Amino acid sequence: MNELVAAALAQGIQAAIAGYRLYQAGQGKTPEQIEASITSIVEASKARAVAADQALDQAIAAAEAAAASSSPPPVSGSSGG
Amino acid sequence: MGSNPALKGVVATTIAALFAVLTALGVGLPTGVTAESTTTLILQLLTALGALIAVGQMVWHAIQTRYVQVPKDTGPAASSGPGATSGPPKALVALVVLVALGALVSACSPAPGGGAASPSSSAVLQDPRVQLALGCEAYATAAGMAAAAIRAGDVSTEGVQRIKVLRGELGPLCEAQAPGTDLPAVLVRLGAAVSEMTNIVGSKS
Repeated sequence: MNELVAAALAQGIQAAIAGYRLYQAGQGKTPEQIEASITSIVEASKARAVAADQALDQAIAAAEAAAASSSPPPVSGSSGG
Repeated sequence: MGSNPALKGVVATTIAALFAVLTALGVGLPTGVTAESTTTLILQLLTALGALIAVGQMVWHAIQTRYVQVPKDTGPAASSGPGATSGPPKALVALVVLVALGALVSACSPAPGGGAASPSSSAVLQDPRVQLALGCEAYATAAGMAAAAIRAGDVSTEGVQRIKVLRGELGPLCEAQAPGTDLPAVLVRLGAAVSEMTNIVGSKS
């Protein structure tokens, strides 16, 4: 539960940071500044999505491995109809 | 241990907080409306209000589930029932909501010389790259929470398999960001999948 609470807190803060970065991007004075901000936002979101995606992949793999190790072995010689 | 409605409430609140930020920022506003116009301002306020109501409902549901359904009388059940011994997520929920509110306030605060958003803010929000990036933020939030829940053993085997399917479908969307992509369809799919992923988390029975 503690890990989940920490994860929820971290995700909530990161979501708020994303919103704030977007707000800041709109405050750019020149097109170059705005374009740089957009590039930064896109790169940051992509990096966060990739990191979360990898963490999810690892968690799924670990859960599948645990399920496989705990499941009973198949009975040899039974055809199952 | 059964399903954990309070946990689901926290997760849902987190996701809702993200969408509150996104909607308040005006991602869904129709293009072509000038940012300085009163219409835009009203739309932004309405979407922000709607998002706040949604967040409030989820927080209220989480608190109700956590406290109201727990017997308040003394006895063995009161000391071992759900919510009796583990730390309540009340402070966490409050903090997440406060963070979301801070983002809402910053998003809706008047820019110098403009309305709810400056013209440059409107241009940024209408950039397809930014809109897809925000969709990826939503996916990252859901994926992060799902990973934590799976590691904690709070997702059923079937739920893990469904999340695996969703991940395989949505992960590439955030990396592609190809021009010419049907952006509204992608965002709708991202939102639906994020919602489904949220419902799966904590569904172990």
